Amino acid sequence: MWTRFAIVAVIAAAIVFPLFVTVNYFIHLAILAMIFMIVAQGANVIQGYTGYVSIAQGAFMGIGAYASALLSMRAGFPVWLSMLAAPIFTAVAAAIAGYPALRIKGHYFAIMTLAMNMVVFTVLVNWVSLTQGEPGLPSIPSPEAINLGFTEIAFEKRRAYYYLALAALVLVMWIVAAVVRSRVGRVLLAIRQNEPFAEAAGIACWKYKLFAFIFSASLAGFGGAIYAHYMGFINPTPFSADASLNAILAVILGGSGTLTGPLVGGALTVILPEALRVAEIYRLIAYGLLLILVVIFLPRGLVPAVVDGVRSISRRRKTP
Amino acid sequence: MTSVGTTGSRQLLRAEGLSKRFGGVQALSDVSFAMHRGQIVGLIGPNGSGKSTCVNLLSGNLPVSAGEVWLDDELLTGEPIDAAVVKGLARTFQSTQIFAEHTALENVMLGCHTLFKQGPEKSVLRTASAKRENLELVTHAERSLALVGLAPRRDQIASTLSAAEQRLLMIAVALATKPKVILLDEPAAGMVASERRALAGIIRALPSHGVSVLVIEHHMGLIMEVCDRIVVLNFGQKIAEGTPAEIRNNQAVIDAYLGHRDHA
Repeated sequence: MWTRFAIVAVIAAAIVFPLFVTVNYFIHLAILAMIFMIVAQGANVIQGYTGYVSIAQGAFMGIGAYASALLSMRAGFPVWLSMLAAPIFTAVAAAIAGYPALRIKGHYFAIMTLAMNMVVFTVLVNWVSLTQGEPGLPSIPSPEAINLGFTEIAFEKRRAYYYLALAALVLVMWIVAAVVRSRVGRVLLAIRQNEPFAEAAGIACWKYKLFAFIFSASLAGFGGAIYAHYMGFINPTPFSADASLNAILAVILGGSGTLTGPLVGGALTVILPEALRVAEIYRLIAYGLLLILVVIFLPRGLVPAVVDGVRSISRRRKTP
Repeated sequence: MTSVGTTGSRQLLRAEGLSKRFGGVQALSDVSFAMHRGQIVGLIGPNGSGKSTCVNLLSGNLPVSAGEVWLDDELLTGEPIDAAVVKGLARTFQSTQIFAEHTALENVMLGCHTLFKQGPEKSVLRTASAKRENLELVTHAERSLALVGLAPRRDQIASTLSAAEQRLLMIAVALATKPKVILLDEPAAGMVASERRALAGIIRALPSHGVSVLVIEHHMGLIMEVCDRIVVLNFGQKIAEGTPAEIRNNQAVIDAYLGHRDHA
């Protein structure tokens, strides 16, 4: 009951947000934050729920971004269709990469995915005939305008794109919630807690791990596609391992294995570095310090800490 | 449950010439034994005699160096452990293994994993058939909890259970897979006398639920009390097999094991 109310309230707040914000830059940040929340939610599926840290979210975001951009520019796909094709394309890439990678356990899996990210990055830089390399792909089209009869929604406009990103985020949240609350989600949590015992319970863990990996990658690919058609220009830089580490960070900051954690964490990893610009050259030091403090004092992340806090206060009120 | 008695006294689980080498160490050499439907068989031996290796070979946790494992005329050797579970072989572990953050019931529901006939995607889409099946399996899971006496702990988080209860929960998870045979690897480890007595009662009741038992135990009292037959290992070889009375009076066993019990 309260959860439903909170969900409706947050969505409503997100819908009216652009009406009260006059500075375009804030809308821009909000769009980037929502895109990154999608990518972080993907990282959460494999890292938070399944317990396998993947350092390849940046690469999959890049694959989705380039796939969608190239499909719309070179293959003549409508932008809407290429944005939907991007996560499928990314899923195929993740299946090919994940099948051997998931035979490996623990830290070695993380190292393997880091290598994957580096390979993808190198390919994006060097396959010039396809990606145009370092200088990047300019003039990526926005999604086609939607004609409602009385008015036309043009997605070149920032506010219109804000709602597109919001709709995509809500869709992703809805799908992830359905998955993690199902039998599949319980199996993923079981793998995180005790993989050998899960196998002894008759669970073919590798299938579920592969699913989690592909699912998380396709979310990153979806986020990448939304990013590409928003920015109108992409080059390999935002898809390096740095982006993967930021996604991991977003999950840890917000609270891994919680649905809302990546929202908070994703927003913070986009907005904090901007908010700390007042500190000028000390910006990165301050950012690093804040992160260290959170990890030391709130090891489970912000969301579980706040939830626990609220619970203990309400309990104290009930039993004075 | 499983088809108790329909095939008479045919062999249920059969190990043939099981051998395992770890580098230069021969942990198990040419061990063969069989157990019948409805039996409780004990596997004993001094420390380092190869009991745990034997269980790991039977369950598929370790690949065999040589030999075969048959369950109900199906070859298990070379199958991963989750496939062995599907064929009817479940196991517990020497060290307590549970899903610590889940409730007791959720733990046992994970043991029901292989029993779901509706695909996992139906659970994501929350179809009516998936919900119905889930409810049916909750009932089955509750029965498994009741078998080990944990029904009152149904909704308790597993990590908050006592050490002995956690070991029983591990057995309940294995029972939930509807096994033909359950391998219990030192089920009484860390239990006090009263808990051990309760455990003996639980083990003895399993054949009446269609589950045959292979139990590995250090505690001779428990073994002698619950087992129909006992297989004795020493230095990776089978040195004796028989009823508890026969084993008690077997000179080779006394020399290898019981005679040195105080030093074991």
